[in-house]
Amino acid sequence: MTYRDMNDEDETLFKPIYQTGKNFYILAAIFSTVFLIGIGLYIRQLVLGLGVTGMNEPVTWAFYIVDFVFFIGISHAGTLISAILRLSKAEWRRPITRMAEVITGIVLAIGGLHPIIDLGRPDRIMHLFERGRLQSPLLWDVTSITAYFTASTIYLYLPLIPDIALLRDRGGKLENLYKILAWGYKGTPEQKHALEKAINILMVMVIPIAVSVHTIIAWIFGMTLQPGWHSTIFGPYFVVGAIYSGIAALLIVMIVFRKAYHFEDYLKEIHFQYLGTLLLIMSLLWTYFTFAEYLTAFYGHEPAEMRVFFYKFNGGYAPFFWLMVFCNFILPVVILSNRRLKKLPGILMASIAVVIGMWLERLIIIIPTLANPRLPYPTGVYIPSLTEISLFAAAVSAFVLGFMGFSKLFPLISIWEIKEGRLQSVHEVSARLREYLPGRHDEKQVEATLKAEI
Amino acid sequence: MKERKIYFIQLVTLSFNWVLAVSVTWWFVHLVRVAHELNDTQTASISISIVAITIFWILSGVLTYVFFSLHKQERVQE
Repeated sequence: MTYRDMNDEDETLFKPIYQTGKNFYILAAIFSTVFLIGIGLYIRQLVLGLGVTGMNEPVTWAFYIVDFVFFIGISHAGTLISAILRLSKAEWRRPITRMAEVITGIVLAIGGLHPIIDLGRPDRIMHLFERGRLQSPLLWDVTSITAYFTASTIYLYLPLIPDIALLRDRGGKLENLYKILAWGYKGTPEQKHALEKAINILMVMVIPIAVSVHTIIAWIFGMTLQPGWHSTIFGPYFVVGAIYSGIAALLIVMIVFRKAYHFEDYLKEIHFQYLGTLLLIMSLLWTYFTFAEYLTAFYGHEPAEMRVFFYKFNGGYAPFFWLMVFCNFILPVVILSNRRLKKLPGILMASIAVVIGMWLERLIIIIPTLANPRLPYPTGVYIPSLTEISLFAAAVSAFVLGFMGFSKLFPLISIWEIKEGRLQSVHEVSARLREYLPGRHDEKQVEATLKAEI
Repeated sequence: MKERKIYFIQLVTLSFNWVLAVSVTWWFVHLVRVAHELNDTQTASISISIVAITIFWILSGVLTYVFFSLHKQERVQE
């Protein structure tokens, strides 16, 4: 269908759905190729077994589990940030929430597949359903991720309904699909009220579910007696790390799509400044947790712990460890605390560094501990194979392709929320501000003053 | 596409959520039975099951509430 400019005030937000440039096809081809290579190598792994990976005794968890924790961590971007910003009525969230929620949906699906890839024989997942044991953190993990995926998909879908209705009413492309998905939404006050009630319930529910997901992933490690893992701080440490990597991933996605689809009028400098400040806070929080974790281990000086400790600090994994510190602490803090550097290019650089640093953090947590078990064996060696590296690249490609695909079907920025913001935000925020100010305010007087001002 | 056909497809997609909720309930009941067979910690098994099952049923309930509210208002408007 040929794109018709309907002269909507927010026509820019509709354009990506109806217009596809040459670059889109080129990028889709590149990422699809990488994805298919990964699928091919996975099929080879299915046929030949896990021997094609670098995993061996004692390092039996490696890239796949690192990637699993990494992708699930990024999912915290979406729902948590979207839910928390909605709950706190932060008006600046409006152009951000949709992208954040989409990130969650896609990375949860990708991350959730990694333990199955790691199993080697995917049919063994049936053992979990047939004879799973509820004392196992692995089972808690399956439950929490499934709950989180369901909740965040619904949380993505419900606020999408008004935008789907707009697309349905425009007609043309995929009209029947939008009719099915719009659920008869016509924008009546009663329908808006019902939708708002449901979104409010979900935004409250989704926060503890999101926190539980990464806490439970941390407990998969923390509940073992492995040196470097058995730590009470792991739960909150993982949650903080997840939110940290999530915000960084969200910033990267925002910057990329802002440039690609010309969303400059919607994703403004101020949005990046606010998220950049959040990123800085999370960097400092992450550093505090990391420092507390390693100081506690060092002070105890338990032999098995110290073997892992020194392996990270000045042993085989030292380069990765110090690169992690640079990427997660030094670079982000330098950039984000400096007003001159805290511009879009600097924020992008800091965000990319954080995403790399947080992937390294998961590597540093998993491999050194397994390579240096409590047993009196020499340190294990792990070298990732081409299969593992390709599958990671395929996972990243799947994420990009998922986002690109979503942008062709639905608006990446919530159109109805932007329109609602224009109509109501100024009034609502002014009213709230007057509530905060000292002294008593007669509601009718405030209403009259606001009407006069507007 | 006819309105009835659209409504039917919508109901089918809504039902997937209920299939998930019922499947999760059945699975957890099965796991509690397995825990009882193996003499595992019953209290923990039952507590976790109650929390997990409740979450899925609430999610399905919310989605169903939205579906029927939107359709009810659509019919009223017509």
